[in-house]
Amino acid sequence: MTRPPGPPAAVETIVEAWLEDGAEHVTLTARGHPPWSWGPSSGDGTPLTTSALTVLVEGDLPAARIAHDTKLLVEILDLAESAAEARHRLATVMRFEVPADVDVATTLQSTVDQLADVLAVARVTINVETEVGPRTATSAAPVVDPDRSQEATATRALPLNRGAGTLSIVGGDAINPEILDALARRAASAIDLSITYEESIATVRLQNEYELAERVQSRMLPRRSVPQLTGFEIFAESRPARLVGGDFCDFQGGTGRPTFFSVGDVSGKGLPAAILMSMTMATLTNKVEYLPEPTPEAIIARANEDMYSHFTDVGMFATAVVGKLDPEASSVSLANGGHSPVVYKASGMPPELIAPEGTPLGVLDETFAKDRTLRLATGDVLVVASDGLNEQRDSQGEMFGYHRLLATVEALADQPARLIAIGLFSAVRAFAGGAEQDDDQTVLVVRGVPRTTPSFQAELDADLEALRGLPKLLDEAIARHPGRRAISDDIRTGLELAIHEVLTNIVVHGYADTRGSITLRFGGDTSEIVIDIEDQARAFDPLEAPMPDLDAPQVHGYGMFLVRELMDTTEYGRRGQTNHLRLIKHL
Amino acid sequence: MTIAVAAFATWSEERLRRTMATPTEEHGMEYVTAIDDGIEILSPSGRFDAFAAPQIAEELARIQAASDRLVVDLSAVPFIDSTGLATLVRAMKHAREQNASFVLCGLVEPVRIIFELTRLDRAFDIADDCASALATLRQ
Repeated sequence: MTRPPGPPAAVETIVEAWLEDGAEHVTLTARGHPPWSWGPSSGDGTPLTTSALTVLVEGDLPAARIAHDTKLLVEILDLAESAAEARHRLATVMRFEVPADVDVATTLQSTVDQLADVLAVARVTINVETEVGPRTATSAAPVVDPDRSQEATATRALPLNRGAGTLSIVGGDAINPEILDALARRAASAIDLSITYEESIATVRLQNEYELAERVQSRMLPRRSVPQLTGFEIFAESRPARLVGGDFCDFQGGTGRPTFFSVGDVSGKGLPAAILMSMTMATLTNKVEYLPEPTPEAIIARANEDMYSHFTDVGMFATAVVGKLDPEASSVSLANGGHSPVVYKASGMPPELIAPEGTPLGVLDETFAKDRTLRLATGDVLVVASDGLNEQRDSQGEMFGYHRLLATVEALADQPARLIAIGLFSAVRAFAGGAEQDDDQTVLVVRGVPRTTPSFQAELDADLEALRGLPKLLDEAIARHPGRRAISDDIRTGLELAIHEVLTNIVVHGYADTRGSITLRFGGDTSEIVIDIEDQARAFDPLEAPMPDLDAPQVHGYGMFLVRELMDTTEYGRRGQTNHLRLIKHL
Repeated sequence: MTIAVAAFATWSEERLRRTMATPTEEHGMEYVTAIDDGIEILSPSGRFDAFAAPQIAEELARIQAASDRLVVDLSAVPFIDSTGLATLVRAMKHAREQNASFVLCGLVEPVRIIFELTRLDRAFDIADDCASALATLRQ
């Protein structure tokens, strides 16, 4: 050697990663080489010495990481006779991008995909058996798979701390066994981390199971509390990508107050996002309830003031649209804190994207969201979705995008709100092909509709004996209904039982044996029969009743279960002193 | 089989007699009871709803206190609601606790559909017709 050689590229790579992750100074003293050093030394490090290498690291890098990587450094230096390319591959593998806060399945998939790529082999498979159950991941099939055989060309046991596993490789050139051992160790440590992470999440989830199920999941699904307002048709649905996600959709006000909706998306995933989401929803509801003159703009501004520090603490934010529905004026006023997409289609016009004028909640101490009013008369449609729709990718990685979203809204704009929403979900799913749903998907549709007049209306005294008048009353209502030809005996039987169950509930639980009356209105057209049932009993939502366990016969809970089974839509709302329940049956 | 048919004939006769003897209209639901060879038969007729349920529940409790073999004949019940179902579930559970027999029979189509929707058709002992219900209980 005429001059001192520099460290191998693989060593450089690892040390650079240390420096990126907190190390300030590194000195490596390898057998037979002058010392290599990086960064200015403060002289306060403790050297780690092995037979082949002395490592001195100063700065904020965990000792376990140093110890682990040092073994790799020794191996790299020992692999003097290995081809330069093999070292380079190893170094590349050392830079696995497997974050610490992902679940086992994601870690496994990411690991096998990167290994297959780096090693240039046909297939890499990992099987593990751990405390969180058996898992398997196989690298995505390469475009050209020259080796179709299932026979593994190399296998290694994974040295897991928390279970057992194997790494199998199919195809490719022979791989240096020492490199393979190093890869197996590297993969094992990433998997161990993800097991620990998954268990900690599972523990937190268990502790919060009841609260989360109540506060997060039930509120993510606004089906039961969709308000009914004359002249508007409203539908909302949220389809979470994971058990607990970041999208929310909620309705507020309504009891003698204007009706508001809020749709938003908390950045991030998992439990922190879910907790912030429910806090955000609670804050928005609180603003609607207690601001003397609630406007969407004021609600967003105040909610941001309340939530700003919470979001800043955890480095998250939330986009949100708040809307106030005005049935008198057939309009909606909106303020938008960074949320997209919001699509508005005026009757006879092409749909347009309404860009947010404000910043998301939690980003700045002010959001700049401003009220704007849109007409929602007959034929006008407002769609507030979440980016889980337009950002859904197909198997080639292409996004659904705004263009397809607008085209879908245009094609469906004449349909009922429910069909517009379902149609959007279907279009996105069809576009994705087999690809997994990337993110939460939420759609709220508000349509301006004609103020319909019922085809039949009746009053009943709120007592059980008076309910005996229902069959006769139903016969009359059906005889006058535009869709009577499509109402078969089976549908009639179902309608009778569903209405009867609702009425019985109002008498027994709502009025609770006090005097009162119940109003029944039948409406709809040839495609559906709509039954509106109103009473002035205490606020009581029968649809909140828990579903019965059908595997064990019981004495409570069948009534509302039957109503849901027999009807296509069931909605409850409270307006002033009136409970309003709407049943819809498609014909 | 002949025994069963004979039993059913006796029962029908008894039922007719009792119906004529005790027309009950003021309670919201008519019913007749009969005893056939130690087997109690309750035959309500009309809508088995929340209005009728307390009275039927009372009658069921009375019979169950006296007998460990009970058939509820629903052939004259065109409509049952969730309160009616709950009344029968209570009686069925009581029978199980007492190791007593409790058989439903004569379900008309709309009523059978409700039992199927709630999966209670699997929980109850339901005979296709009342004659075979009686025959089974006699064995």
